[in-house]
Amino acid sequence: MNAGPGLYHTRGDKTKARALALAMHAAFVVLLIFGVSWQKKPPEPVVADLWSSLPPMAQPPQPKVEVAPPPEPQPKPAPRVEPRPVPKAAPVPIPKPDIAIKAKEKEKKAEPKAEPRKVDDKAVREKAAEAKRAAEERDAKLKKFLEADKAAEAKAAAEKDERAAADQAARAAAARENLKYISGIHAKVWARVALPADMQGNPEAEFNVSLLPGGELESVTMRKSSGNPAYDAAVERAIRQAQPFTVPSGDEFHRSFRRFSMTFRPQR
Amino acid sequence: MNPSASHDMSILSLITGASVLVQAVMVILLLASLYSWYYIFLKYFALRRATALANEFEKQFWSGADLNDLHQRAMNTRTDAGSMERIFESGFREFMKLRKQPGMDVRAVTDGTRRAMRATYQREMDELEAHLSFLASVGSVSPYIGLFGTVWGIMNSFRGLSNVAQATLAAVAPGIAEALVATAMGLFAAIPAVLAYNRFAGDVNRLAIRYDSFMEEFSNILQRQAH
Repeated sequence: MNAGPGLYHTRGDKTKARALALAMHAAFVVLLIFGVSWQKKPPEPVVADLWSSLPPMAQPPQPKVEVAPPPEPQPKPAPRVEPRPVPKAAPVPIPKPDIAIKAKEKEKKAEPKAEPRKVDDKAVREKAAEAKRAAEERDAKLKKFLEADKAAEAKAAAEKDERAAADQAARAAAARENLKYISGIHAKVWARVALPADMQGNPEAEFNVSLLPGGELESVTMRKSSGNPAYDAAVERAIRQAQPFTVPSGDEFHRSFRRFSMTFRPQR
Repeated sequence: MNPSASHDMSILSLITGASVLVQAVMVILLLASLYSWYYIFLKYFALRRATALANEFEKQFWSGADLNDLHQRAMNTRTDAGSMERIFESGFREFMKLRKQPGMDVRAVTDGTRRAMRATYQREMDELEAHLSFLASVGSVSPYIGLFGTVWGIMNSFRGLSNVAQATLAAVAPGIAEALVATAMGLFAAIPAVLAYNRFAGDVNRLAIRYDSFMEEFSNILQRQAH
């Protein structure tokens, strides 16, 4: 009849509505991407090397050494790297702190040596002699260095033994410490156990407890029932109520308190 | 390269990082949102025009214009006439036809006229209410679709968690954030659709009441004329 379908929906309206809908979504997407500050990558950590002294001017004398005709017994990279005072950058095989100190001393020795070399640049003969002397000096230094290495190794071995003994002692101490924590937890739970009225004998209930760092309870499951469901339920309830527990922090927690089991009996 | 820097939580990476099913849910919701906004605008224009035309016709009708003139004008502007004008036109035409027939009493003429107007009224209402049910569907269903995507995504991210020895929040958080985008999109599609549906349903209802009362008043006028 005369009420044709789409009477109020003219063609112009349709295109207008379509365009508006698209524009609305596009605007929303743009707002979402640029308007909201999403968590972006954290700024890259800045790495800073701390130098105890200014690095020696190793670069300028370096090419001069290369030009020098006398044979160098020493590989070239060695003098360049040696004087670095930072133990991390030094190619020293043993990460001993006393080595670093030695390197620093060596650097002090190397500095006066580098200076004349730079000055006597043009006199080739003098330079040759100088280079030889430098090589000898370096040899001596290397020898000393190797000796120091050996000494350090021996020292490290001794220290290892010492550390093992210390570790054992520390572990024993930690175990004692843990016992304190465990008895604390046990006491805290036990204070909240409401013994059922029909309690008989001295049944033992064992629970697996896992904690979160900070001492909050993550889960508790029964490992061994006491045979008295009311007693089991009472203990489990008490464990849930007693949290958070006092626990050590860090590694010790993860070693001993992440998951552990506790037994509860009415009389000791 | 840096594992801690891989938690880039911008919206684009959240969408591209989601699983295929979650992405499918997002596409469905985006289409639903696009269509519902299209109908929202379309309906808004249509109802605005319908109200304007009804106002205009009511003004003409009650300004005391001759019914025959009005009828003539309604016949001429049939294509862009308002609903009320068309109701008037069909009622008046039926009235003229019935009055020409011999042996019709007044009651039969008014009843016939009223039936003719009622039929046009139904058609007009159907026209005005078109697509409103789509908006209602989007409003009620798209949160569920989004929720489904979220549940699926969270299930996946927890399943991935079982492969990790140390369960940390950082291991699940990106997966959950990805999944929650689906719910956000569902709500984004649903909220305007529900608001628009309520608004348009109210508008259509008000128009229906106006048409209804116009039909009653016009019937009275015709009845007076029939005597």
